Amino acid sequence: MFDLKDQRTTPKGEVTLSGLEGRFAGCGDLIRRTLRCGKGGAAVEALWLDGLTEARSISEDVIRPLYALGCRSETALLAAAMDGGVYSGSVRLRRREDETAADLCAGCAALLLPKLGLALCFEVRSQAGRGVEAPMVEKSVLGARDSFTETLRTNTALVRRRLPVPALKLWEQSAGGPGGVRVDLLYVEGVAPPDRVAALQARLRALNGPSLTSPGALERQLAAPPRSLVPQTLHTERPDRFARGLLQGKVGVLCDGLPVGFLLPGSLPEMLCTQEDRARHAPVAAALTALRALALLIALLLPAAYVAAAMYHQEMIPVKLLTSVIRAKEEVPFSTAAEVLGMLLSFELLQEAGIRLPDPVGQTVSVIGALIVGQSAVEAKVLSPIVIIVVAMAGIGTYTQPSQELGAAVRLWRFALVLCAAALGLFGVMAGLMALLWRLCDTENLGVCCLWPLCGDRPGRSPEKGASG
Amino acid sequence: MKRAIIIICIAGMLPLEGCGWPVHSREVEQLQLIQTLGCDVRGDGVTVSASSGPQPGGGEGVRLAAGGESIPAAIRNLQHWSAREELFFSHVRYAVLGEDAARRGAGPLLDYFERSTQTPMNLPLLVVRGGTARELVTASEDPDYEATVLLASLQRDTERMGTAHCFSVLDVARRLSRSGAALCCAVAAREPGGNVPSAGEGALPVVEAGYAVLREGRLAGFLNADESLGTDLLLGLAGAARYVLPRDEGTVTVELRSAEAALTPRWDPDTGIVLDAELQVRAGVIHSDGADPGADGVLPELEQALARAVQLQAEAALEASRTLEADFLELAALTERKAGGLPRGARAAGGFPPLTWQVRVQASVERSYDVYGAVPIAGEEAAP
Repeated sequence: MFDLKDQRTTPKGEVTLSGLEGRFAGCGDLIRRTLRCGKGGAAVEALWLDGLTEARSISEDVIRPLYALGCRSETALLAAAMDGGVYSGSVRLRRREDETAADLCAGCAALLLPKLGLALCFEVRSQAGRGVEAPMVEKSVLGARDSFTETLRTNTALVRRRLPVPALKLWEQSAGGPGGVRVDLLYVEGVAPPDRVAALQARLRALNGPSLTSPGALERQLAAPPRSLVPQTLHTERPDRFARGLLQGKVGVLCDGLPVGFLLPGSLPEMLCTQEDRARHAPVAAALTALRALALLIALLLPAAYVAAAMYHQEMIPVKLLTSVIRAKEEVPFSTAAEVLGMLLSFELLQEAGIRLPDPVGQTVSVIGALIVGQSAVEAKVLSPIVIIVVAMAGIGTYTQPSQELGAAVRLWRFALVLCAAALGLFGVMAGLMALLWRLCDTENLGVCCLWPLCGDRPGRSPEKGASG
Repeated sequence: MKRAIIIICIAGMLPLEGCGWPVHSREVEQLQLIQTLGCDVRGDGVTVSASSGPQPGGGEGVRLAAGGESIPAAIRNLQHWSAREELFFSHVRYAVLGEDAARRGAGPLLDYFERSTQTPMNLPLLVVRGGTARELVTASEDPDYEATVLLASLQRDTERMGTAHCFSVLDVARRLSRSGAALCCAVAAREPGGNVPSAGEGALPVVEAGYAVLREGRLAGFLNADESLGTDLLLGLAGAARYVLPRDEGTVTVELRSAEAALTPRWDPDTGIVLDAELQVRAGVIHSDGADPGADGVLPELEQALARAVQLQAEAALEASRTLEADFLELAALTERKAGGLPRGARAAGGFPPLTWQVRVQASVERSYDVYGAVPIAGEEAAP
């Protein structure tokens, strides 16, 4: 039986109706209702935020049994409610107003006991939200068709269905203290190195809650160093890929409100693979992975290689192609480097415009942009056709990357490589490429090299590095 | 980690192999590509001629010629005649020597190609028989009969037919250095009145003219068609050469399908180099004029006739080597390799060691299917 004397803190709390109303002043969605526990029973105040809670659950699971209890004092009511007199699966006793306010924001109904200064918070969270749908980005022909949603608990359930074992551990943290965004850390005990889990728990404890509004914001705070141009986490919207990552010893992070799961540590070679590769025959999957690697090189190096060859190393270009390039370039007023940089910039502008606009308009913009920038620019002798082909090939190479983060990083890197090529030709390209590779080799997250397994120690071999992150 | 980074850095350097430093940028539209380069003698100096090759869309290319005391000086003078800022020699596809220039010596041209960081070494070196390189490189105004187009066509045809092989500048330089003799494909202007169906006025159709033999860098002579084919047979470079084999009732034409040569030279103190050449050729019947290749006993006779023809060509090539005292078959080098070195005094001073040979040929002729007579033709009775 529940006994107030068992509680370690003073039974008398500091929760008041006026205090809570003051905190929620100006919040039109705060509902307040005075309830009486049967005829002659104690009077209590019920508060909840409309929309976050399920109205039917409040009436059926809280108000109806409360009335049936018929308790005459708040103490009796408190004991009865804590002993299961109210049908809600989760009930928490709150003595402080900030805790109570946080519960209200999290979708609880609060029952205020004014004389005791306490509040009972029942979980009656609304389940309204997007259902489980097919993945939007990581589409699959042969694999599963479910994806993460914005609801954290739905996402953890999707993962647990894939890994129905008690070894799957789920450590939860509210970023930014009570009432902050809930972030769950998932790992398979005995598979994930404990030092890796501890390091991530430390990072999650330091999270700044209000900024967690996008995957990028969370990744910035999980990655070390946070401003690195190298993607260090694997994003996925697929529960099957997330579960597979956990089985490989990675640690997963799910955040309430984000339909994306994070796997740490991530490496570049892993970002070239898709979950669907597992559903294909090994030779086909290997060929596709090699194709993506080739596309990555094209996306990264083709514009720079073209600038270097056209400005410094014309002997590398086959004679027929060089003759055509000369013919096409004769009336173009810009240098090759300016042409390529301008076209890359135009490509990025078009891409950004296509993403920001609604779907039908976005497609129109893309088509019109392609027509304007392509055909018209060539006809007006502003650009040579070969530059458009080079930039288009590089763009297609970027789109073949399963990881959006890697694709975005490549788009930045290739600008730098084009500048290197314009300055020093192939020497510049190779110097830039080596600097990039050096940086990639030197970047570690949780003790794992960014290019693993191409270089670096096997993950988990040096626990002290992993602990330090 | 450090090992991986070092490996990556070394691997990153590999694509730079061949790149010179410092690098200078230039826009492609400032370049005038040169695809055929010719060299002739002019008094004490040289004349260099250049052609830009076929242009996209059938446009007219550039044909230039300039003189100078040396090839680099003449090329520097060529720049003044160009509308473009820079003549670009990295894509030269053919180097042509006039006969007089070849007689004076191919050394200056080979030196230029070896020392230049811009020009490649793997392009064919050709000698104009009875003419100058300038005539070949700059004469044609018709884009379809431009020098590069003609030479490319000629190269494909000669190598397919096995009548001559276009040895590269690098091949020639290596062979001269190794054996003191080398072969160059020879070309000549077609005789006036030749059958040139679509040649426009002013066009300069060229024909293959066997091999030019360079000895110690200078032109020693030319090989005729049989000697050239025999040389190709002995060097294992024979293509689909054709032989018209006479029969009592007509002729049978066969085409080579394969040819293999096994040269076994040895040194004999009395007779010099003794060459044992064993050739194996396989040919197919492609035409018969009056003769029936399917008749009993005809194929063995054709094989004997083919073997005899091949033997005569091979022996003609060996005889030419002996006459010109040019070891273009590299027999001395081969003998040295097999015997562990020629005895002291084996080579005549600056000349060619005595050579005797025995050539054996094994020929096989395959008969293709005879459609005529086997398939009934309208109005004719099928052959039994």
